Amino acid sequence: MVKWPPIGTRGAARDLALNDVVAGELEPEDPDHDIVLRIRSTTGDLTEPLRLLMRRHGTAVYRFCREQLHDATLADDVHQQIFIEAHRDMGRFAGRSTLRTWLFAIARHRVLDAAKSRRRAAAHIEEDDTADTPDPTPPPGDRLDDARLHQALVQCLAGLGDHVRTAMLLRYQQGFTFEDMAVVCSEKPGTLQARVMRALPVLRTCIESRTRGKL
Amino acid sequence: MDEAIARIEAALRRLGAHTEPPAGWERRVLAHTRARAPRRGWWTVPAFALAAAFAFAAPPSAPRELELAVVREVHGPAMRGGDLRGDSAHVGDHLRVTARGGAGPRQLWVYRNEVELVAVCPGSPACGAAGDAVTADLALAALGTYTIVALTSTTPLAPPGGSYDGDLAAAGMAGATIRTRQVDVR
Repeated sequence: MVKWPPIGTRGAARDLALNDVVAGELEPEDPDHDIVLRIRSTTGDLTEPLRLLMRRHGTAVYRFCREQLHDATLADDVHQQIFIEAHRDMGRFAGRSTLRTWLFAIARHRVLDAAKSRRRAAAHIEEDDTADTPDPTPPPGDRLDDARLHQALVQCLAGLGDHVRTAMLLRYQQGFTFEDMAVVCSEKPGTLQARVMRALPVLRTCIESRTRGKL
Repeated sequence: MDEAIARIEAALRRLGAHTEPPAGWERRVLAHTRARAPRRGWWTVPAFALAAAFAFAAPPSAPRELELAVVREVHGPAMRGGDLRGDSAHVGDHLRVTARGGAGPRQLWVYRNEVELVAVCPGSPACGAAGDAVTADLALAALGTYTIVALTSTTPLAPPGGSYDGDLAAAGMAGATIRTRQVDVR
């Protein structure tokens, strides 16, 4: 059994988190076990666990934000907000999932909120990924090359609903299992799997119709 | 599996593979979290130490928690130009560090910038003892962020190797109780 150091003066919420851990709910397989240990053992200042969290997951979370929002400026803001929120709530991390799953649950919420706010404000969506990319239409009879596939895929993903796009990115870009995705999205694994499986042929049709190419 | 679907899946896995967060984003997050954190001045540290001393004097009815007290001793003008100096220290100041309580022998590890091991107590010349407490008197000789770590464990701990992350991860895995404090020397 993992023996945890006693927790300092972080209030009732933190005591509850410790009890959860002692009860054995912390996943010992968490690759971020060392950060979790740091959260448990640090009295007051959670700057160090935050630094480690940013160092280890900052880039992955940023890529998720960029592909979800398709807007560099908005993604930058949301990305920072996610880690500020993670720092705020870190003391209450109860170990019921891995730290990475917990972080992406925050990321998903913030990204969906940002997308909703943007829709409400009818803001302009920056299509910065298309600026220097090739014409998606291949020469007649050619097989679609990777660059054109990428460009068409980005455009077709943008046309999916937020929740479908989230599932696709969590599954493929971030490599989550459907079980972990279920924690991130608060949905059933089977629901998410079905959503991903349904989206793949939709993407294929979209890509082929946009490019008039053969995948 | 359909080759076309396999290509789409592979392309999805590569999405954003060359995208990096903007430079300085970590610094901006840290600045924000520090701005939101409740400010606790250095003057509260001696109060903690005093409270710890009272607790130490009383007969213990149960094993006390590990306590880490850090007191800055300003050598030279106490207030330079009226500057209260917030939570930072300056080169030439001293830190008086005390670790007491906890189950098992106590140790102090002090790092500068997480990579340079400044002191390991007991053992380093800066170390001392007061009752069952381990102390260190550190002269802050260089700029940087000093991280002070107090540890106690009922099982022997591996000596620190000089990497803050690695050392603390190993100590945590060995079941040590750990307290940390940070001091920015500017």
